[in-house]
Amino acid sequence: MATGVLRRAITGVRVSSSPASKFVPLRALASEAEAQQAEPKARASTDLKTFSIYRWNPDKASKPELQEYKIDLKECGPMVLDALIKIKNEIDPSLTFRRSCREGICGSCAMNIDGCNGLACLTKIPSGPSTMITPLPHMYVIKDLVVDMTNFYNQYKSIEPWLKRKSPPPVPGKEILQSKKDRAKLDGMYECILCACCSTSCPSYWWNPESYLGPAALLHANRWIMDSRDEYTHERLESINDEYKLYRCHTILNCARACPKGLNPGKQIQNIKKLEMGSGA
Amino acid sequence: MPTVSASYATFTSPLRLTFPTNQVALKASNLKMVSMGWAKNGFPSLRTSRFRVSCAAKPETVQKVCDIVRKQLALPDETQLTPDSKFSALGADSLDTVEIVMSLEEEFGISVEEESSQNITTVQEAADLIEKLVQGKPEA
Amino acid sequence: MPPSSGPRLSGMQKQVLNLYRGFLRAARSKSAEDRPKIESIVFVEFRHNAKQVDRKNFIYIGYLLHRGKKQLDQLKSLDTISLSSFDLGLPQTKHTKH
Repeated sequence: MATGVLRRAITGVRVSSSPASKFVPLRALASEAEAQQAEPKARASTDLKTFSIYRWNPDKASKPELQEYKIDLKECGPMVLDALIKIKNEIDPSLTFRRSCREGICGSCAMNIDGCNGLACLTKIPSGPSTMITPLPHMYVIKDLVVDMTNFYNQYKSIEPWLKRKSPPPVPGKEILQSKKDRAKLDGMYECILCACCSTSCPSYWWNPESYLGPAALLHANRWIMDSRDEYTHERLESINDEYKLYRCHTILNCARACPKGLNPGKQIQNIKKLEMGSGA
Repeated sequence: MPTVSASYATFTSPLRLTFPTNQVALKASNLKMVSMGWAKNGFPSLRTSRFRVSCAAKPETVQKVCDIVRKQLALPDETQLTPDSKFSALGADSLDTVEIVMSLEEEFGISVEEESSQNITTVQEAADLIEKLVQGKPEA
Repeated sequence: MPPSSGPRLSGMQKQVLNLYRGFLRAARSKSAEDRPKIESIVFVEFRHNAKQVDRKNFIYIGYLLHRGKKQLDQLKSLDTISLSSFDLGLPQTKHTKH
């Protein structure tokens, strides 16, 4: 009994003796939350938007379809990824998509939004009553918005994206240094996050997805060709000097339009083609 | 010379593996098949080509193919199996046909191209192709 | 050899048969112990899909083909010694138990 009383007394003291400074922000937060909840009702102005999202589940063996979800934009973050996460959290947990960093550095959430490839996390929810979201075009769908990237990654692997040297480093056991000017040559290429937005927007890649390397892999090929420290430039040029691997690029430049990082793979491919002419290979 | 030794090899193995009763049955059915070929086909050109085909493969090979088909399709003993009988008529679907060709490959130590394996629909066709491939093997 | 006396097959049917052949070939390269296991799983899978999948459902067949090719690539690897499969709940069997 005594302990009970004591405990009650203590808790009572704690609550009442809480410093006012701690209480105020808590109050403020609470009232803000209340206000947020109350506001839409008070104004009665919800901003409903329809998202038509490609759905396909291999386990159900039914045909793919566009499923519509209505979202109140007033209660949703500004980006398409926010809307997708909201749908998954609140409406349909079976909706499947890849996402990770939500800030355009991992490249996971590449998809086709209203007909344009882009990262859901970097794409603002388009204005207008409805938006259609589909997987990256001309890719094998695994489920809903998730596509099979195996071929894309294998193509990246095929250009040997690592530093290749014939001679040992100038100072044994130390890094191989590079001038600022040489380093600047890699600008516009090293930023690529391999999201596949460019390659899957390229009509040429659609028709020859296996034989044509595609803008992303070729951009990375050029990244290593242009690297002052790499000593296999000639071999690299030789290995992609191919009617299909390289020359299926017809400078359509959908790649530059699609790139969420603002790069221009078409320009880098152009550079490779120029070097191929010079090397006489 | 190499071709002779190769065909000899195929000659010995069925003798080791097959039962004499089957051997007899095969010879009878082989003969029957020839006569059927004559009776069934109205067109002389077809008739002659059928006749030539039936002569191409050795009866031993045909026997071995028959045994494998019988095993693969789990045919009961009373089922008539002639070199001319279509796999499909014996209840085989396309997957069964693949299985048959695969076991033939292993039995005869050959490799059947995809295109040719699609053309195999009867025991006779299989036996002919096998003879061709076995003969070609030592040279390769 | 008479030209193409076999049944006329669609491109997709040929792909399925080639995949089946590929799996059976890959199984040969495995140990005598594992080979029959692999073969029986492959056999069951193909038979099951041949029966269950609507022959006009090209999207699904295309998906299965694509998945099968990837699985075959894995099986072909020398590091892969065996194959196993899960039965992810045919609902009937699960419900009868509970």
